[in-house]
This record gives sequence, C-alpha cells and structure tokens, in this order.
Amino acid sequence: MRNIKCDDCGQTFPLSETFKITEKVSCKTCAEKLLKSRKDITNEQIQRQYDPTVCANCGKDNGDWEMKKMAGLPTCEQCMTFFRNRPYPLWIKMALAGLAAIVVFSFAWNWRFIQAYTELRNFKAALLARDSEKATQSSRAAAEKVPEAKWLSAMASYFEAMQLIKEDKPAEALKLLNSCKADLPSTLTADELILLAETGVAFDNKDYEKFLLLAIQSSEKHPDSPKVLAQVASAYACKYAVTDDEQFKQKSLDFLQKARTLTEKQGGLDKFAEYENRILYRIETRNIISREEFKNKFPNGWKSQQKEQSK
Amino acid sequence: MIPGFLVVIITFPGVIVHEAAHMLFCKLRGVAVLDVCFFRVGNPCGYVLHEEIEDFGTAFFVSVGPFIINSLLCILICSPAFLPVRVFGVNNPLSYFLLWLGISIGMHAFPSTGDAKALLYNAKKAIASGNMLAVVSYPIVLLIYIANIGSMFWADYLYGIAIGLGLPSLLL
Repeated sequence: MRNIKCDDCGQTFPLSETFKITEKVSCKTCAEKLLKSRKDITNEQIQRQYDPTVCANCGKDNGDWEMKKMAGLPTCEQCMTFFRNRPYPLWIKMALAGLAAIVVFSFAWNWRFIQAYTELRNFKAALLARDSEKATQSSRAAAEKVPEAKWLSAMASYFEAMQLIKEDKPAEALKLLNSCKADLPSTLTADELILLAETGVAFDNKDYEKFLLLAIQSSEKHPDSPKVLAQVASAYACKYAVTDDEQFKQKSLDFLQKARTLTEKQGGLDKFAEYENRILYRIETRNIISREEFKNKFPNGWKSQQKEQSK
Repeated sequence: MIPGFLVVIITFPGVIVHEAAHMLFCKLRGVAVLDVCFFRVGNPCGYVLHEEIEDFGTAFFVSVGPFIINSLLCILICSPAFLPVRVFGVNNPLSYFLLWLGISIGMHAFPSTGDAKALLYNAKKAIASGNMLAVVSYPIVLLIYIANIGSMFWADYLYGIAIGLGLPSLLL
C-alpha cells in the first residue's frame, strides 16, 4: 500500500483514500471542506486517487507490487476472475429454468393444436386432390382435437354433409347443415348445400311438387350447370310419372337436352349418361326409383323398350 | 400516451432478458462485467457495465446480442400460443400469458441508443483497419437509431408482434 501527504492538513493517508482536486492532493475531510467553500470547482476537476498496489474493488493490499489494471483500475486476480466470469444471479437462473419449463409444458399442453393443424393440412391437400372422403375424415379429426373451435366442427359437418349428399342421404345431410350453418367460417356458405339437400329430401319424401320447385330454384342460380339442369329434368320426369301430363314429359326432355348440350361442351359425359339413363327410364316407364335401386336393377344400364321395338 | 416507465414495468421480462443477453455475450467473449442491473424503474431501466472492448467483433456481438436472443426467445415463447390463438381462435389464459411474455421479450430486442453509441465508437476505431463488419455496422447503427425513434410510436411493440405472431403466419 502506498501513502501520500494531504496538501491541506499535511497528514499522511493511504493513497486510495485521497482525492486530487485542482491538482492538489486532499484527504477526505479536507476535500469536503474545500468543496463546501469553493463552489467554482467542477466535477471534472475532482479525481479519486487509486493506489496501483490496492485492488479498487475489494481493497486487497498487494504490498509494494502494482496490480494489473481492469477498466483502468488496479484489480486483484480474484476480482478479475470474478468480473470475467461473473455468474448470473440465482433468481435469473431460476427464472430461465421456469421459462424453459413453461415453454415445454405449453408445447405439451397444446400438442392437440399441432395435431389438429396437421389434420387441417391433410384436409387442404385432400381438397386439392379432390379426395372428398379423405377431406371429410381429416376435417372431422381436426375438429375432434379442438372441440372448442366451433367453426372447425361446423366445417367438418359441412364436408360430411357434402359426402352424405353424394351418398344419397339428403335427410341426414340437411340435419347436419342446419346444425352447423351458424358457426361456419365466412369462406363457406351452407345455403347451396341446404338447397341441394332439401331437393333430395323432397324427392325421397315423394314430394315432387317441392322437388320441382327447388330444382328450378337451383337452375335459376346456376343456369350453366348441366347437373342442375338435369335435376330439373328429373323433377319434371317425376311430375310426368305421377300425373301423366305430357307437358311435364316434354319439359323434362327439353331440360335433358340442354343439360346434354352443356355437358358435351364442358365434359363429364360418362356421369351424365348414367343420370340421363335413369331420367329416360322414368319417363318411359313412369316408374320412380332411387339411384341405388336403379343401379341394382340395371347394373349395365337400362335400354329403352321403344328403341328395341323400333329396331 | 402511456408513460415509458409503465411500459417498462408491464414488459419487465424483456428488460431482464435484454440485459441478460448483453451479459451472455460478454461472458461468451471473455469480457469483464463490472456491474449489472437487470431491472429497475428508471433511466436506463437496466444496464451492463463492462470493460472497454478492443476487438470489434466482440463489441458488435455484445451490442446486438439482445436483438438475437430476445428475438429468438420471442419466437420460441409465442409459438405454442400461435396455433390456438391465431389459427383456431381458442383463447385460454395460458396462451395469453405466453403472448404477453413473448411479445414483452420481443419488444425489448432493439439495442438501445447507448448500445448504438458503443457500437459506433468501436466501429470508428475498427474501420481504420479495414474491418468489414465495422463497415456493415454503420447502417445497423442507423437502423438502431431509427428503431429507437420508432419506439415512441410503438415500433418495438409492433416488432414483438411481427416476430411472435407474424413470422409463424408466414412460415405455416
């Protein structure tokens, strides 16, 4: 440790306990007196003195040997090691561990959302691949993972209803659609499907008046859809079958012709031919049977007796 | 206008992580940390006092360390909440806690003007020796100043939301 004499009181003090004020060395007491009497002294003119043999941090005395400096201040080896490897406080370590635990827990807790999201991606891929069965399965699987998301369940019901309509189960489809339509996402509207299902229900209930009315309603919305026009033809054929009124027969044939012309332009003649075959059967025999019954009865399609006779 | 000290109190985890990130890079690069304050109600709301850094690469990483660490933690913490809240619209307290925590940390990712000054000081010294990182750091310093001005208009908050919620939206 080095000592120095105070320029004011003349006493000797450890160097690290003195100050340099306007180039004069002062002990702590003299420095306080000086600063009280001289208001013109600025902060820049006051310097704390450091003893190069005493650690500025812990005060460790190194005898006559000068210590290494850190940030311009004499620092002992122990303090230097501490500053270079300053540990994080325990509460920071605990907080970090807590944070990691929360994140891990949250991932585990929300795993079902990740699974549901994966199912949604499968659903989108299936839609793009036009695989409606897989799309329906994936949307239902996603909805089961996140039952709180009503829109998801509604969307699953929507696609299930679509599937049911394809399977000729319009009553079940209608029930599903009516239960989900309020919660459907804005990108989906149930109105079209509801109309389609109601049309199917009217046919199943043999309410051909309503069947025709709904089919015409659909055709007004989609005048360029061969499928919808064929449905109108189907409804007129039903009316003809039950009333024997020739005007219904003619209208049925007219709509069928329109549908055929559009199908020839747009493609998909195979599916249309099957539907057309069933409508022609209905017109000729005045027998109304479901698609399923028709398929079972005529697995290779129906052939007109009139055509046979004319040959 | 919400007083700055109130914003700092509400988003205190971000301040703590910011200072911890400065300290982490000091430790990684062997820079002596003379004093550290992880959080306080005052200006600055936290600080890391370290020895003068000679190597510019070290100075660069110590200055921008919080940007890296806070941004990564923001993404990590917000990600478990992203799907329930943003995709499925399911709101639960855990998700909102995670979003508060993540966005609080993300919005303190910007280095402070103090960090920018330190970076600029070191860049000026390093550029004389043709250090390319020092050249690159000039626009970064400018960006830090712009970001700090933008913080007055919630740019820091928007940044937190952008990386916490916006980034997963882009990736998924």
